[in-house]
Amino acid sequence: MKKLLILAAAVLCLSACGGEAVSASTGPQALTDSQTEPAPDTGQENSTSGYVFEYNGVSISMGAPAADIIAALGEPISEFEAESCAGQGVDITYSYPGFELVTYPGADGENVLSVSLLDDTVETDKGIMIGSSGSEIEAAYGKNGADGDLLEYSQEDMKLTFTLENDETVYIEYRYLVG
Amino acid sequence: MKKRIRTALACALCFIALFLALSRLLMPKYASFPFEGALSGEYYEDAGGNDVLFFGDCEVFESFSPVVLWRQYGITSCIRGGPEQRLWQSYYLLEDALKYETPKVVVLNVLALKDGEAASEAYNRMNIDGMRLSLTKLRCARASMTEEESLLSYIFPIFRYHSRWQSLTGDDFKYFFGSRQVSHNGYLMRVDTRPLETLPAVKPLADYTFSEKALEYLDMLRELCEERGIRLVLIKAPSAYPHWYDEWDKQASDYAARHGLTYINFLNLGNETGIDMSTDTYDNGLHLNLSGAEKLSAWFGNWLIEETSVSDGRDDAALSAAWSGRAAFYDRMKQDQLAELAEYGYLINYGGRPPEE
Amino acid sequence: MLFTSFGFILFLLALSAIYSAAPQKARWAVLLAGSFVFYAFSGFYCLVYISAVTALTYFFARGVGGLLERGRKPRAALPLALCVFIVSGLLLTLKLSAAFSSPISLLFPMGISFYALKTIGYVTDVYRGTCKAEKNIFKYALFVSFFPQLVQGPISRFKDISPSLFEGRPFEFERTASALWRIIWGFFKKLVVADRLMPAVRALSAEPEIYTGIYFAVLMLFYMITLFADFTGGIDIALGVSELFGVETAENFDRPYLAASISEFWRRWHITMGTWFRDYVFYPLSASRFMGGITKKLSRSFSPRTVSSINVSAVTLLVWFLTGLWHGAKSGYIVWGLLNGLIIVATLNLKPRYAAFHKRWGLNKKSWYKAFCVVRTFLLMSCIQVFDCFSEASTTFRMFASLFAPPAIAGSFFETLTSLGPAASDYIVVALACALFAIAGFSGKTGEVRKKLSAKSPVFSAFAAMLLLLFVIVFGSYGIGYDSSQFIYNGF
Repeated sequence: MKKLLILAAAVLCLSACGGEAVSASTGPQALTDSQTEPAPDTGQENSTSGYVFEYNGVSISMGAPAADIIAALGEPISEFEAESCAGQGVDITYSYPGFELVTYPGADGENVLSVSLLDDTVETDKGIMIGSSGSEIEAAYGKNGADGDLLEYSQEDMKLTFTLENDETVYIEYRYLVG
Repeated sequence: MKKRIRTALACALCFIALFLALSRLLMPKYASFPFEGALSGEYYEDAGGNDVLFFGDCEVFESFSPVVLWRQYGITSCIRGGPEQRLWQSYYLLEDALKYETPKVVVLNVLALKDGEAASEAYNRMNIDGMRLSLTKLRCARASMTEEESLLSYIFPIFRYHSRWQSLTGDDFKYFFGSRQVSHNGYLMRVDTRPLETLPAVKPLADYTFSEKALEYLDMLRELCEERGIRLVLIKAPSAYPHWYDEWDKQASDYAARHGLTYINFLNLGNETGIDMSTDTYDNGLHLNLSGAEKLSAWFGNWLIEETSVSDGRDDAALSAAWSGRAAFYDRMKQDQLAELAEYGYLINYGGRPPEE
Repeated sequence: MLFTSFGFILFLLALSAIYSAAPQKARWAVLLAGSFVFYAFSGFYCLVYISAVTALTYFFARGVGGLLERGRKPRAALPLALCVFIVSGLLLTLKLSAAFSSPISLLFPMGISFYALKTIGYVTDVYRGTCKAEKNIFKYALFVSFFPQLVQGPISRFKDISPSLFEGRPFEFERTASALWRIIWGFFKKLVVADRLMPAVRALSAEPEIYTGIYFAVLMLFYMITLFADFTGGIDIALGVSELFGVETAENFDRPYLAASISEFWRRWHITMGTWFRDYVFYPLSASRFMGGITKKLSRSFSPRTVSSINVSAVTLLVWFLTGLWHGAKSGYIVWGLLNGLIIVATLNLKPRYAAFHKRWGLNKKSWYKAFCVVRTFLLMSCIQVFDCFSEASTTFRMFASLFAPPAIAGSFFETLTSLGPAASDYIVVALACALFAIAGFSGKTGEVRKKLSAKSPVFSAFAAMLLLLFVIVFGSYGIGYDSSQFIYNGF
């Protein structure tokens, strides 16, 4: 029944001054009204949906609570905090060998926003790494309608993106689609 | 019959009065953090007689200090920036400003050229709500609105903010009749320092071309400046993050060259301006702090005097009087922030975060 | 187009302007055009359905009317039966295909449940001679599609509505004021109460496995409040808008939660639907040859009183089965209908015993007993209405079984309540609004309260309306952050 559809969580999508980053919040502090507070945090409930990145036996799924993952990954090489304009939250980038993990502020602490694969020491769950060709990606993840230098695969609330240059993967990103 | 009409009239008047009062009460006041939402409305306090107007996102309202421009060079200026301000918003804010003054120079930060859509509803509201009601404001709203927004709520903001009755604070009553000034001619001051230590890796993009919509509004903005005899200067503020790609830089400088504009990329002028991200930023390289903004303003003021028709206005007694008041407020806030920093270790009332967080 | 949208308010303003500018004779045409514009917002296919049903029933009614004029009533029964068969067949097909994923997926046109009943009633009325077949097809089309009553009723009758519908009455101060009062009141019910509480109802019914025990009781209560505010609010807007254009039409509610029994409840809740089923299903069925045959057979072995009681009970159950089906072809609705029917049948058959019991203790005169009956009816109705919340009746039965067990979800009661969506302040607003409903309910019938108020002091009445409007603007659940939801009854 239509009327019994679950109330979709109203999550505002805010891009930080830090441009690249996206943070979720219940709205600018001054606009906050309790009605916009999402009842269930969908990000945490669907923590196992979509493509998952694995590193040293640690599974990282997009939108999942980040605290345990960060603890399991060990000391990062560096951390970078990107504070968004007008107090809309802080996105934190944790750098590890070969990849970066970005978190956004969720209702109960940080959640995983994205994972970026930066060199060929790490690979996706289907063995794709920096340097893989477009046909290798399509063999692993299926045909992708898009032509050009961007291959995108969406699953649940996340997107896996391969950026190519001259048919060579130069960048891989897992990203949680906030909101 | 007469009595009926009188009743209806009295009722209607009461309704309008209460409606307006409630609208005012429920509007966010931005008198405490986040202050950014107050910027677009505060402009009207400082409008009129400015030689230089700045437009753009946080990279302008955190990077230039009009008080320094005045003190050192006698330049009258105002920043009409806003958080995540998009090109179309810059255009309409300029169109709006031109109703009050015609500056000699308009300075536009180019970062927003990469963006083809609004960052979010919240940022739209912060950029547009403060504008006085006019067709320009409505056009600005129409160009900015996300799918969930309605134009009507920009005419009657109560339709957007009505549910704030649940989160009213003392500020909403205290600043009912008028908000407290939070900026210095559009500049938001931060004296604290959080040095830049590391930056995330630079990620390759699939497509580096600027947004078509943004370019379209840049054209309109440029033409508007040409019509009014205003010199348009494009700048890229020295913020280290988000990364300013070479491909973007080339497009910006090509555009400038094509239209005979000056384009200054402050990222390349570190030696000249003296900006040092270990001391001049309050959030590890995203925004300049007071020290950074003052350095940048010192360099840019000199450039303005030498390269444009902007002149020293310090001989004008009326101007001097007006600006001495602004400068005093500026100094007071600086002292206040320094005192806070000394007492708490961070800016407790100005949007700072405790260091350990 | 939702009644509670800015679009609808703009539409109403524009239509009012055109309406008052048009010559009186042409005003009904303005309303017709407006209705079609309004309906077109629900999708073009909706217009196709309504045009087809309008044309079909128009020609059948003309045929029936023509035969009657020539004094051939028996022959007129055939086109009547055919027409009823086609329209109800269409409705049934659409309901079934909406409930089950059929190979031919049909788009369900909003409001068809209401105008199907309206048109069937009309053709039957023509056959019965209650009203004459309308000659002007466009006027008839206005009757079928009149926009305020299109999407959730009330189910008006041609004889009642047509004089004022086609008259094109001018705006007149007092009536306009009264209409606006009613519209604002409707907005209040819908936006301040129904939409505020709806997220909680949705959350509670979305996860029946955790919200058991006391939370099921909460769901029942919340659903009763939401349903009342939503449905009566929508009808208040519909009737207020009708009144604005001078259209007089039957009331659909008479303070239903003050009813002392289930059958009384159904005489006070969704009245036009109840009377429709009474006049066009119950009576014809009871008087049908088929029932007559059964009566005859039964009377051989039972007393006449028993026979009549069996007859009435069987037809009542059938009517309620159909009423459930009309709401939707799902087990939840069917059980809901049958439950209503069973309780009504039981009350009917136990009436003599009740009477004796009441007399024995002198209960009828006791006000506490009356209050007890009202509370009892409310609780009973809560148990029945909650079948709406789960599409499977079995879920509801399971929930009833859990009612007195500790809930499956841990944590404090108030924290759980505020985790459902509405905040504590929202619940306070709802509670205050419910108090207002109660005051309005005890003060008299829907229309009377406003009239009393304005008769006492027009100034006070006007100010009260104004304050109520401001209240709606501030406390209404609309705009960003709110899920602007459909009226519950638009779904049928």
